[in-house]
Amino acid sequence: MDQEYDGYMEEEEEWDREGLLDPAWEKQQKKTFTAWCNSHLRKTGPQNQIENIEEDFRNGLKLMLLLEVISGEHLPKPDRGKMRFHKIANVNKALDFIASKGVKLVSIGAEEIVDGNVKMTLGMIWTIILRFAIQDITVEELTAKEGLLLWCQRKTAPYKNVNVQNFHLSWKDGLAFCALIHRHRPELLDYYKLSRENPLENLNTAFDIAEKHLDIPRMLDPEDMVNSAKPDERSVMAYVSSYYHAFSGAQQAETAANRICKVLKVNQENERLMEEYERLASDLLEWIRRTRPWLENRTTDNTLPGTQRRLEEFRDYRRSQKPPKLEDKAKLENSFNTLQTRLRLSNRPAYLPTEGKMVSDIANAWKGLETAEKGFEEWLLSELQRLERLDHLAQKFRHKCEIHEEWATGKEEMLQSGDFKRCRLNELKAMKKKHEAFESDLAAHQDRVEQIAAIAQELNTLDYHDVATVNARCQRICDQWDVLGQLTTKRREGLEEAERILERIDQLHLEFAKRAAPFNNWMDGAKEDLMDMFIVHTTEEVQGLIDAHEQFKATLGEADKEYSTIVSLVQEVTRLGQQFGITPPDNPYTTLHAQDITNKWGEVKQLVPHRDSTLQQEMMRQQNNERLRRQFAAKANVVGQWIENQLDAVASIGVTGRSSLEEQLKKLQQFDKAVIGYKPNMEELERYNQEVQEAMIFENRYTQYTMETLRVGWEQLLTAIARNMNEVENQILTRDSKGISEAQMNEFRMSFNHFDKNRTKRLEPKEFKACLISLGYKIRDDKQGEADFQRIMSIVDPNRTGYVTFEAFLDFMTRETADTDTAEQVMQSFKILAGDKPFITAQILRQELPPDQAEYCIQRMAPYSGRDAVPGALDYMSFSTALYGESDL
Amino acid sequence: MTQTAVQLQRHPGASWGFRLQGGRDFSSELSVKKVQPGSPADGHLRPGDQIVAIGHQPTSGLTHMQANGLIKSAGNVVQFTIIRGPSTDFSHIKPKGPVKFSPWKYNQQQQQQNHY
Repeated sequence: MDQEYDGYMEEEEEWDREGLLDPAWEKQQKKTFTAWCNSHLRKTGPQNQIENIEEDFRNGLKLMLLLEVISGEHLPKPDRGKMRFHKIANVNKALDFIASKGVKLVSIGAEEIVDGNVKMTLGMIWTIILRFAIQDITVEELTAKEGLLLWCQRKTAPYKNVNVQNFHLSWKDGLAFCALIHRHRPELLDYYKLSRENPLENLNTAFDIAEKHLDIPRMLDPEDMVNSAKPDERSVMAYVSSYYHAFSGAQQAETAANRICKVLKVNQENERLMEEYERLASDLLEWIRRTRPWLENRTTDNTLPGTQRRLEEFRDYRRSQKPPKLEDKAKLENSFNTLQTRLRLSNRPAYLPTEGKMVSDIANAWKGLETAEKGFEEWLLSELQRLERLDHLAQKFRHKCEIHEEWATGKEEMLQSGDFKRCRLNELKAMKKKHEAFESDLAAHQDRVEQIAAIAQELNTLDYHDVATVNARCQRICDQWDVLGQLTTKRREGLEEAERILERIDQLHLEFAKRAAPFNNWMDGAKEDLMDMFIVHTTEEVQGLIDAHEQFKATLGEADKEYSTIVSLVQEVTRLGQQFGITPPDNPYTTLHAQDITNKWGEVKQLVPHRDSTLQQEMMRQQNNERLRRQFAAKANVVGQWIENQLDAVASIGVTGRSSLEEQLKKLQQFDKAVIGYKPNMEELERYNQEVQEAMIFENRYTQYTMETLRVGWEQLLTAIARNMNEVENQILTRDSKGISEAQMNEFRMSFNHFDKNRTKRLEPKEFKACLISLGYKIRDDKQGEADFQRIMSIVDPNRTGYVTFEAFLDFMTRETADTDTAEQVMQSFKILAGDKPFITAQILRQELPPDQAEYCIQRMAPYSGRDAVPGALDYMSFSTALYGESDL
Repeated sequence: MTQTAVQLQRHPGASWGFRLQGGRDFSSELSVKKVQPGSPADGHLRPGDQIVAIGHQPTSGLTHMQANGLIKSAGNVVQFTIIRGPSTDFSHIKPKGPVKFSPWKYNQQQQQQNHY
C-alpha cells in the first residue's frame, strides 16, 4: 500500500528537508491552491469560498467541507465552538480522514494549521490535491505524476510545436494548454493561428476558454508563468489535473454513447434483416404456390400447336423464371444463417421466422416444386411424339378413304342398272363376265376397307382430337360397302338368269379384260405404295425404305412387258377393224380402256423418281439429326466432366491442408468467377439442345448426359459454391467477433477434419466424442461421461439430426463459460450518460446520441416512475433489457 | 422433455428476482435469462428454463410484455409450468488453458479401456 504512494511521498520529504520555499513559488502556490480549493468549495455555495488560504482553513470547518466535496464521503460532525481546542479538533478530524486514505502526513500538525502557518497549509493542500485529484490518474502502473505526464504527452502528441517533458518549463509558452483544449474541443479555438512568440496571449486564451467553456477557474497567473524563470511545478500540476478531470469525464460519456450507438445499430440492422427475410420468404413461397399447379397440370388441348406452345412456356420457365428464384432461395438461406450468426454473436435471442416461413418450410415447398417439375418436359415431348404420330395416322386414313371413295363412285348406279335386259346376247355375255370381273375387284377392295376400319379404330383408341369426322366417314364407307355387296349378289343372279339366252364371246376383248383388270389393280397398289407416308427416326430405317423401293424398281421390267402385251391386244382390235373396214364395238368385258392403262402406267413411272427424291430428302434429314446428336454429345461430355471436376474441387476446399479462412474464401471466389465465366458453355449447350428438340430427336447414344442432368449439376455447383462461401464467411465472422487466433482456429479445424473420416463435413456422435477428447476434454468412459456427452450433444445438435456441423462445433468450442450480460453493459452506459441517476431525459439523449438513435430511444423508453423521478424522466433500465427481449421481475 | 410445475412466493413489495426473456414479439420462446441468488426465484427457476404456462394461461402467443404483465398481476404467489433442459455448464470437463489438438489423447483413452 505504502509503495504505491512513494511517488509523491518522496517528494514531500524532500520538500520538508528543504525547509523553505522560494517566495515566487509560494506566491504562485497560494494563488493556484486557493483557486483549486474554490473550484470544489463553490459547489456547496458561494458563501463557502475562501479568500486567504492560510486564514480560512484555520478553524478546520472549510477544510472538512472541502474534503467532503472532493471525496463524496461524510466526515464526523465538526465541533461548532470557537475555542482553540475546537479548531484543533476539527483540523485533526480532517487530518485523520486524509490519513485514513492511506497518506502519511509527515510533520504536518493540526496546531500549525490553526496557527496559520503558510508553509504547512500549502503542504497539506498539496497532499490533498495529490491524493484526490492526481492519484487516480494511473496509466500503465506509473506513479501519479508520471501518469499525468504521460496523459499530457499522449494528448499533445499530434501538435508538432508542443513537447511536454515536465510540469514547469514545458508550459511557459501556453501552447501545451491550447493543444489540450484543441485536442478535445477543436471548435473552441483556432490552434493553428497561435504562435510560440506570444506566450502571454496563448496563456490568456487557454485560461479564458477553460474558465468560460470547461468550468475550470483560473488558477495560474499568465504574467507569473512568463516572468518566473521556472514556474511552480505543483501549481501547474494542480491546474493541469483539472483539465484531465474535465476531459476524461467527457471522454467517458463519449465512450458510453458510442457503446449505445453500436448496440442500437445492431438491433436496427437485425430488425431490417428479419423483415427482409420475411419479405423474401413470402415472395418465394407465393411464387412456388402459383407455379406448382401449372407444372402439375398434365393435360393438353390434344393438338400439336397447343402442346408445342406449352413446351415453349416450360423452356422459358427453366431459362428465365426459375434461375432467379433459385438465387432468391440461396440468398434467403444465406441471410438466415448470417442473421442467426449475428444474433448469436450479439447475444440476442435466436430468430424464429413466422409460422410457415421457416427455412425447412421453404426447402419443402421447393422440393414440392421440383417434384412437380420432374418429368414434366419428358411428358410434354412424349405427348408431342404421340400427337405427331396420330396426325400421320389421320392423314393416312384420309388418303385411303379418298382412293376408296374414288373407286366406289358410281358403283351403286352401275350395279342397279337394268342394261342387260335391253342388250343383245353377246353384250349380255360380256355383261356377265364384266360382273364377274367386278366381283373379283370387289374382293380385292375388301382389304382396303378393312384397313380403313382398322385405322379408324386405332385413331379412336389413341384419342385423336377430330375423331367424330373420322368415325362418320368410316361409317359411310362401311355402310356403302355392305350395300355394294348386296347389290352385287342381286345383279349376278339377274345375269345368270339371262345367260341361258345370251352367248357370244369376243376372245380378243376377253383377253384384254382378263389382263387389264389385274394389271390395273396392281398399278393402283403400286401407286398407293409409292405415295405411302412414312415416319422414321434413324438412317437405318430410311435405308430400309430405300432398299424396298429398289426391289420394287427391279420388278418394273416385267410389268412393262405385261403393259406392252395388254396394249398390243387393243392395237390388234384396231388393226383388225382397219383391216376389215369396220368400227370395232366397245369392249363389253371391261370398262377399262387402253388409254386408262396407258395414263395410269405413265403416272406410276412418274411416281418412281419422285419417290426416289422423297427418300433421299429423308435420308439427308436423318443424317442432319445424327450431326445434331453428335454436336450435343461432344459439348455435353466436356461440360459434364467440367462440372463434376468443379464439384469435387469445391467439396475438397477446407477439408485438407491448413489454409486460412481468407484463403479458402479467395479460392471459392475464384471458383465462383470461373463458373460465371463458364456460363456461355451452358448457353451454347442449351442452343444445341433446342436444335435437337426442334428436330424431334428423342434419344442420343453418344452421351450419358442429358440437358436435364447437366442443368441439375450446374445448379448443384452454383449452390455448393454459394453455400461454402457463406459457411466460410460465417466462420470468419465467428472467429473475428470472438477473437479466436488463426492458430487456434487451425487446431479446431485440424481436429475436426481428422475425425471427419469420410469427408462429409460433419461428424457422427462417436467421431465428435473422439474429437473432444483429443482437444483435451475430460469425458470419462462411464455413466457420468456419457451424461456429459449427451448434454453437449443437445447443444451442438439441438434438432437431433445425428450429426455435428463444423459451425456448431466451433460455436461450442468458443462459447464463454459465463454468459456476458450485454444488457448490463448497455444499462451501465446509459447510467454514465445519466450522471449516475436511475433515469434519463430526452434532452440528454438528444445531446449525447446521433438524432435517429436518440429518437429511437425516446420513442421506446417508458416513463420512469421511481420516487426520485423528475418531469420527463425516462426508464433506460427496462429499455436496455427489452433490447435483448428481457425484463426484470 | 417433461413439464414441471413450480410455485414462487414472496413478501409483499419484494421482487421475484429473475429476468424474463423472449416472447412472440421477439420470435423466441419465453424463458428465464438469469436468477438472482437469494431471491424468491432462487432454487425454483434456473437460467434456460422455458416457461410454458403462467398460472393456467399457456404462454404460446403471448408477447413479452403480456407475459410480464401476467406475472406482475399475480400478487405474491405465482405458479409456472416449465420445461428444463440439461445444464449448460461444462467447466468441470473443459481443458484448462488454450485448446491444443492432440490426436493421441483419444488413442490413449482407447488403450486404457482395452487394458481394463
